[in-house]
Amino acid sequence: MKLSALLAAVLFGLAALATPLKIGITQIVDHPALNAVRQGVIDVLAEAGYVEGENVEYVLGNAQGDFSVAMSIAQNFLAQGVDLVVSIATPTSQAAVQVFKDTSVPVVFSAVTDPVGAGLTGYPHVTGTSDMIDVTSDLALLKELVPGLTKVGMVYNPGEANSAVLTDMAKDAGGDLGLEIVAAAAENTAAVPLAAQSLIGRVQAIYVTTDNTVVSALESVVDVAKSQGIPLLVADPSSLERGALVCTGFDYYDHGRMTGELVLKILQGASPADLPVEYQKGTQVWLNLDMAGEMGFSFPQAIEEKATGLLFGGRRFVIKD
Amino acid sequence: MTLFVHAVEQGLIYGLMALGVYVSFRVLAFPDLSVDGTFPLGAAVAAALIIGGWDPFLASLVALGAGAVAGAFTGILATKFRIQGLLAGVLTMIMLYSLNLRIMGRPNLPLLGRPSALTVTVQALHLTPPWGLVLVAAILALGVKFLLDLFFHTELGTAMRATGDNPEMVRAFGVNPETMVILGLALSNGLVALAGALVAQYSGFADVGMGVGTIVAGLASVIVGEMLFRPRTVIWATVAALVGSCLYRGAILVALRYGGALGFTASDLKLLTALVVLGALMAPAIRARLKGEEA
Amino acid sequence: MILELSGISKTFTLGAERIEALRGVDLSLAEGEFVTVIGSNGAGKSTLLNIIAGTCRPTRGRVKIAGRDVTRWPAHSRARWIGRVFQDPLKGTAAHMTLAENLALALRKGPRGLGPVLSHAKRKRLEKALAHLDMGLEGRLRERVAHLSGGERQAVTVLMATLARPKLLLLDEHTAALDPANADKVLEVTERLVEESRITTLMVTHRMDQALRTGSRLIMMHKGRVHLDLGQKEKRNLTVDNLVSLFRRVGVTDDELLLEAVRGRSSA
Repeated sequence: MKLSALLAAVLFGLAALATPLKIGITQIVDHPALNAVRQGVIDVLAEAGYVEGENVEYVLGNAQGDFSVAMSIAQNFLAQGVDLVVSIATPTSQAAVQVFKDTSVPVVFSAVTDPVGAGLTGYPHVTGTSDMIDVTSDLALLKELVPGLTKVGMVYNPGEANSAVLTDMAKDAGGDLGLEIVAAAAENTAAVPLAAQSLIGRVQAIYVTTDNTVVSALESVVDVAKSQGIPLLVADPSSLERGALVCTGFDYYDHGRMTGELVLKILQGASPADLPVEYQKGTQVWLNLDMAGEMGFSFPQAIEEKATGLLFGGRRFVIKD
Repeated sequence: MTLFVHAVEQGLIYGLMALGVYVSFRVLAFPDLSVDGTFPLGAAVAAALIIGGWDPFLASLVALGAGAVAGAFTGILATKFRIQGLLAGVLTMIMLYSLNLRIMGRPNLPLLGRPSALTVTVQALHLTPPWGLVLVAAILALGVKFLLDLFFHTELGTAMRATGDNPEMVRAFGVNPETMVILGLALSNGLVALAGALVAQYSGFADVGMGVGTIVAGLASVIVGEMLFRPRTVIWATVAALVGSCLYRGAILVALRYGGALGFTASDLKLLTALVVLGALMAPAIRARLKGEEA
Repeated sequence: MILELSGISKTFTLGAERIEALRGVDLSLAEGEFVTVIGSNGAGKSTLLNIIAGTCRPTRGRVKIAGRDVTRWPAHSRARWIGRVFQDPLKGTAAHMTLAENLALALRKGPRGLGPVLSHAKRKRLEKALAHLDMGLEGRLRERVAHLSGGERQAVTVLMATLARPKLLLLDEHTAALDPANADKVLEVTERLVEESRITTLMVTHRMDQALRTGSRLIMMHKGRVHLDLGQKEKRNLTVDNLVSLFRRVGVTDDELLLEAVRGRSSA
């Protein structure tokens, strides 16, 4: 009798040890940038020895734009007893923190532009990375691109939290730089072309931040910029091939890796309370020589010296690391 | 087990929205799309007030009032201005999108850590999770259901039900069907806005986009409930709406939990949920066909 | 006078066509009168009822009910004085609600409050009213109206129209859509209810035998005008054949006449 009890206990203990690590990864929509973040996290963990199927199990959740589902996904993670949650984007992170706030399960958020404004700070088991972009340096770059620049147009979705924050920040930063920001609102991808067209004749450059809606419909903004012969700066490097004249920002895959490093530290024993929110640093600058050629635009020397890389003949060339 | 608890919890809170859709869609026979706008309206108003320091109970009630006004607005558009029902609802919904943004001041307002009417009640009753919240949600949902049942057995409520059934007939008895529609939509959207306010407090944030798909979820809840209960009276119809809401949320959770095992990916969630609901809707038809009769 | 119509005309414009449905109708009904109205198709009978009820506005003329000029009043404002039964037996009741609820609705004619729609006392009262119909419906108060037959529903509609004691009862070919047995039953119910409550009644019918047999006064309309107005005594001695020749004299064509006469005779 005692022996079988002991055996059961040992087996149970072994099973517990052998139970792979469960990590829940949730995102608000299917989107290249968010997917890249996810991949970055998974790759970093894989390189550190966490192999899917062997010692780690990923539970993936995609709310497909439905906020109630974001809650359900987080609750599902709780029900499944995940050991750590990675939440990508603001609404999913808010839902995750809400569900896990009375637990000690670490929550690591990613791609949240304004973690403080989103209410995600102040929890000992929550930390993460912010994809806040440096609007001041972007606008300063535009000033160098266009001598005598006074008016910058911005197309954005006022319904996206990240975008709204950045647009407000741009208005403030612009003020400091002597630039007037002319904002055109587009509530969904279908409204983007009209919003872009409303800027015609009113601005000397167009600036697009990490706005999911506008970036999805970027082509229409490219058309306007090109036909007007004005520079389009997009704070998302993957927009280069789509026709932006200059791309700043960072790769969301890299952002995901940064998040992955944080997750790794926690898995190795660090407490999230000791890990402050990390802001993405190191803005890249990509120049689209093809578009410049088509527009008859020439980059000032100073800009060329800052460039991280070029797009030429449809191919990317890295200049700096 | 936790899955079941969450399904019932969410189902009951969203159940208030299902009750609202029941009033407009079934009682008034009015397909009201404005709920996609009044649900986040409730969330926006409640969130803005709570952040401004208001008592969450009061904030939720004000949210209810805001929803009622919006519903009345749709009603007026449809009756006085003779705008077709569907279009009237869509117009209100579109207007509310901008209004909600203004109310919140930004597209997303976090409520994490702020007093929530739900948690305050749970604590006041000395209850603990996980069942505490379910109990509070149940008391609330059943309380609202009881009031609704009572209302539909008053003269006014009966007149409203008759309006949805036969508007010309009620005119012959001195009831103005237009007034009934306006009142009914006010009631319906008040409930939906209240649901929005509570969901915002439940989720810890209000987001301007959280209304998308409300009418779909509401209709699915009402219809699934009807298929199950085949209610012949108001009292059973409201039960059906609440149970349907729980089943709908449950379907989502089941799809999330076990979809992976069946080979579905995370992106297939909406498809899976729809399949689960479709299965529920088709079951009686299939059953009838197997028996060789008309459904 | 319960009802006074003065110079009522109604012209409908359909695109380029103008249809003169009513051309100067004068009619007065004293309290307690039971008037039957017959006429060929297009004579303007339904339009007349619509104008009295308020669902249609006259192009010219005045409508007075119980001394009040209601020409401009919307239907639901006049509703408290008027009971109306239509041809479609499904139109007069709310199918998905119970018999009790339908009847309770008919008890009131004004704005609704938050009082309970059915009390024990009310139920008893409704049971008594139903028993009066002698159709066995008093035990079916809790049933949904959709489960009643067409004839039963129409009988209930007539009862509902009289429950709140309106000043005027308008019956618009209300037995036309029923089979002969049910039609007779509903007519019998109608006569009984009207007699007990002494409600002033205007009944449009396509059946000449009904028009002759029922009520105290007969009006014949043709092409928007009243051509005959017969009192009790004159009515009593007429047969359907007499009526047919009267029609002919007025100028109703043989075809129109034939239809009416055939319908009238076959059910006489």
